[in-house]
Amino acid sequence: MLSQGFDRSYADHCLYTRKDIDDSPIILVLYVDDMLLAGKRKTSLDALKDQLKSVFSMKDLGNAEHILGMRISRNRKDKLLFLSQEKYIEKVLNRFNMAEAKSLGVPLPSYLKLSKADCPKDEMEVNAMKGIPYASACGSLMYAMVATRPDIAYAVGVVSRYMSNPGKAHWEAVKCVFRYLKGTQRKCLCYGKGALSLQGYCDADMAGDLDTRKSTSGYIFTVAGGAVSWCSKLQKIVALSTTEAEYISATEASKEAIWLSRLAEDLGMSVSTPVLGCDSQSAVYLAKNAMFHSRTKHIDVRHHFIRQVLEDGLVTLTKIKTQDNPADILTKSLGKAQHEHCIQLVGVT
Amino acid sequence: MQEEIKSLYANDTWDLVSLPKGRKALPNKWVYKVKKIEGKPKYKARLVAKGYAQKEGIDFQEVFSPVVKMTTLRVLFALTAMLNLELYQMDVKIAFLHGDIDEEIYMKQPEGFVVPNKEHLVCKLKRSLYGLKQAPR
Repeated sequence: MLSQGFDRSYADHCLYTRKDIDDSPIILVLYVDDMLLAGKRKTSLDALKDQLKSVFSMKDLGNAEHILGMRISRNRKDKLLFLSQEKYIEKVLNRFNMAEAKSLGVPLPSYLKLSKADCPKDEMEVNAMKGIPYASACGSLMYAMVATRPDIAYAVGVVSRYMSNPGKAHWEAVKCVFRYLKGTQRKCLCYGKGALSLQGYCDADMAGDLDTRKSTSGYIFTVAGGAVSWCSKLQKIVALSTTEAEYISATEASKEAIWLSRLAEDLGMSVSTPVLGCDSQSAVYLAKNAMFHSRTKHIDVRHHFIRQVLEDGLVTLTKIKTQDNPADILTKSLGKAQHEHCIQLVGVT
Repeated sequence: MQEEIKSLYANDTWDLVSLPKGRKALPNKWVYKVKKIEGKPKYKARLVAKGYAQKEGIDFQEVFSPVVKMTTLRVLFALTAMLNLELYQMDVKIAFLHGDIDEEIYMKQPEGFVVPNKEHLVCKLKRSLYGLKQAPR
């Protein structure tokens, strides 16, 4: 690839870019045996394709439509692009006999409080769970989550915690996620409705895990109105306060923000500093002022990374209202209305 | 099977050499698969090396597969939508036969295709093969 005048991106080694004659970027993504080409001028891309074909034996698949189980559809008039996994989800629902199930409005209803207490306690209960494909169901859900579905990230994270010893209640929760997918099978990730800037949101749920009292952090980033990166993760340490939990999640999110802005730069986007929204005023204060007092003195140095980042101007941190924070869906179970509002904010339509 | 052997030769995948002392030649086998293309069955044969017999430090150093990050793809899609870019897809045939390998790897000659009078020689691989630690999966 380098011999064709491409530069390899540091942010992702599968990404190569080159400047076209009019200075617009030509982008090439190469992984295993698939290749994506993007650029403004059709003639330049066609020339590049011919060039590549002369060096490697390749098959031209035309406009990109299917990639890694995702379907790409476009509306060129309104400059919109949709990503969907309808076929994949249908396949998974059939595989786990959930195709006829009644649909559900949220992936994990809030009355379901899972904990280790629901794990099988005696041999009989363990045997009862033996015939249930818990791990492969989790795996299938995870693939959907990783590709196009930030809306089930929290639910998938929760059910995956019990992978090693699942109980009946855990399996019921997995079925809830399937039922939610059944009702939202046709949902797409939509790009093109917002500005071409990096907007991030972070949130935390203090002591959400009933067994360890650890908090969950979650962040989500959007570009052009659609989610590009998301994460819902149990924090490694036990946070002592909501502020601390939010502070840790803001640090996690700022790491991702830095990588994303590097990636955007490599893609030839002229992006402004990523803006990270956080709904905890005290966490924002804590990040901006290097104050030191009894309630924060125990916070590990690594979590103060965000102070450096803000000082260097790599990320901007702002306070946002809780109801306008879509990262809420990554840390807790929400009601139907709030869930729908949140996923709309990140382009899941 | 003939097709696969032909493409392996066309890509100059190995040299026939005698095995140096202290090295082992990797076993290999043919894997057969029936693919259905528009209702008609298509038979495919693929030569794979038994990579599990490779020893770390001798046959391979580090394993690295380039897997694109989903996030990268999604940022690309967002950009494509906003700037109304053209987006094409291409499929690289027998992708990693193009990948050169740095380590010296010896493999037995493929079953059924042993070169007459050269039975004592082994294949010194120049390019990657399915099944090797060096192969993407």
